[in-house]
Amino acid sequence: MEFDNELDVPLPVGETWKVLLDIERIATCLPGAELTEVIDDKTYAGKVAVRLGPIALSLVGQATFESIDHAAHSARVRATGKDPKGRGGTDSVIDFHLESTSTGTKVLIHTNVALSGTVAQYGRGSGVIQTFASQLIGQFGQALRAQLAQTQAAAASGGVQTETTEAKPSKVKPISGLSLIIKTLWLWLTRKFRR
Amino acid sequence: MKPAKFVHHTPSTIAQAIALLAELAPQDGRILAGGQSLVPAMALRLAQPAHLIDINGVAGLDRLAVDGNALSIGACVRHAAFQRPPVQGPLGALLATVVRHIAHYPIRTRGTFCGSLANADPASEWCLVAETLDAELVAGSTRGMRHIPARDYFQGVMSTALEADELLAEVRLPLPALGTRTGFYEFNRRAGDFALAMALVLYRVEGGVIVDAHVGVGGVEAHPRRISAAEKALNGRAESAETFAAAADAVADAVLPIEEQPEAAAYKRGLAATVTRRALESAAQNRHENTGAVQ
Repeated sequence: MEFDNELDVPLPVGETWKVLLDIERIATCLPGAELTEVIDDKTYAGKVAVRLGPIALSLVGQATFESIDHAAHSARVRATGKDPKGRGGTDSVIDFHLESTSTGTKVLIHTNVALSGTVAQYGRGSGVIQTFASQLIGQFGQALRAQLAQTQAAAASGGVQTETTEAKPSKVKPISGLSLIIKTLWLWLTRKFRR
Repeated sequence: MKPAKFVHHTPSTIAQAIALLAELAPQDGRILAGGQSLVPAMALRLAQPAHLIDINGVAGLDRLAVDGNALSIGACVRHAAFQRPPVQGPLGALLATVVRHIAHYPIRTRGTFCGSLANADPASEWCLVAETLDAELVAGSTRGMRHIPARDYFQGVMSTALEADELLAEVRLPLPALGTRTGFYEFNRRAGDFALAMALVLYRVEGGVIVDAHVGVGGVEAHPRRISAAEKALNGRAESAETFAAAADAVADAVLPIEEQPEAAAYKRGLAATVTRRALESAAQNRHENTGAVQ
């Protein structure tokens, strides 16, 4: 299943690019996500906790930068994850592209999600998924903007900016995969319990 | 099907339940009240909590009583407790109307009001009631009791402000002023199904015009929500078909249906407007039933 989301960041494209590639920083802005290991400069291991009503899933997996184009400000991330209790997994590809706007940067996110296992059997999800992705990307954007504002305030008072950092992949990817699973589960539940 | 292995805990006081929850929440310990969502999910092994903290034996949690200017609903109060008005006046009548739309009788004898709020299904009737009436939710943890206004509580599909180690101990529904008209309308294709759309409205009429309108819509967005544009379209106007139509139009414009397909979303918008209009019409008719209490 494929869908698109976008996110506004109040920074120039070059700065936003650096921030989004700082995965250790980005990971803290993702609801339910935890970065467990930096395997190399393109591969990160982590887990994402999803709690949906009666169900608690934790997806353990990794995200890999399949390609990074610094000139075009585009990147492709592949994320795979599995529920340790065998209830399903995901293999998703997320493309990011940055565009300059009058207020900063627009981050365009294209997600292609594949699900497997129990979760996938009922996973039509076309209705609810986009809502969830938007919701989580919205939360991510808020957390990121709050963090940027903090950093800028610190930079303003402290003199020099400590702001941007080096390159890492963006965690937005697990978010989308995560949200997809939530939506699917919810649909699944409502169908199963249809009274 | 049988659930995965779990440990069943039976605390007898709120303090014990909260202490157990604090200890077991990190291991996916869950509160068991009515179990009408949790237990089926466990039977399918979709939910596999390692610990269940059964609060059915906790003293005092089945309390359903007027407390100051609110109806206090404890964590173990079943849906069926609302089949007869639990309190005099517009709130009791409203709750007794709404409860008939919740699933079927056997489910209503086990499922709990607070459990519905903790589960936060987008199509939950009680969630719509809590949101529209500006309920106050009381969450207990080892850090103490926390009061959460309904508008801050719902965060998304089955996603709420409750932390994993918090027990939703009580919900307080404010008693509407005497003379408040209420109307509820739900649409689904079969009796007892989840709502495809539903609306709950409350308002008073003073000096010939509507004041203090509350318009809540559920089953359409990720969680129930008061639609302020519709409330503005009502406040200060006389009750009339035109006023109600304007409020229904405002709802259609304001809602963001979960459905991704344009045609499904358009259908839900239209449905949201229709249930709002019908809820308003039923509120206007209520006035006649309540004439004794009205100005």
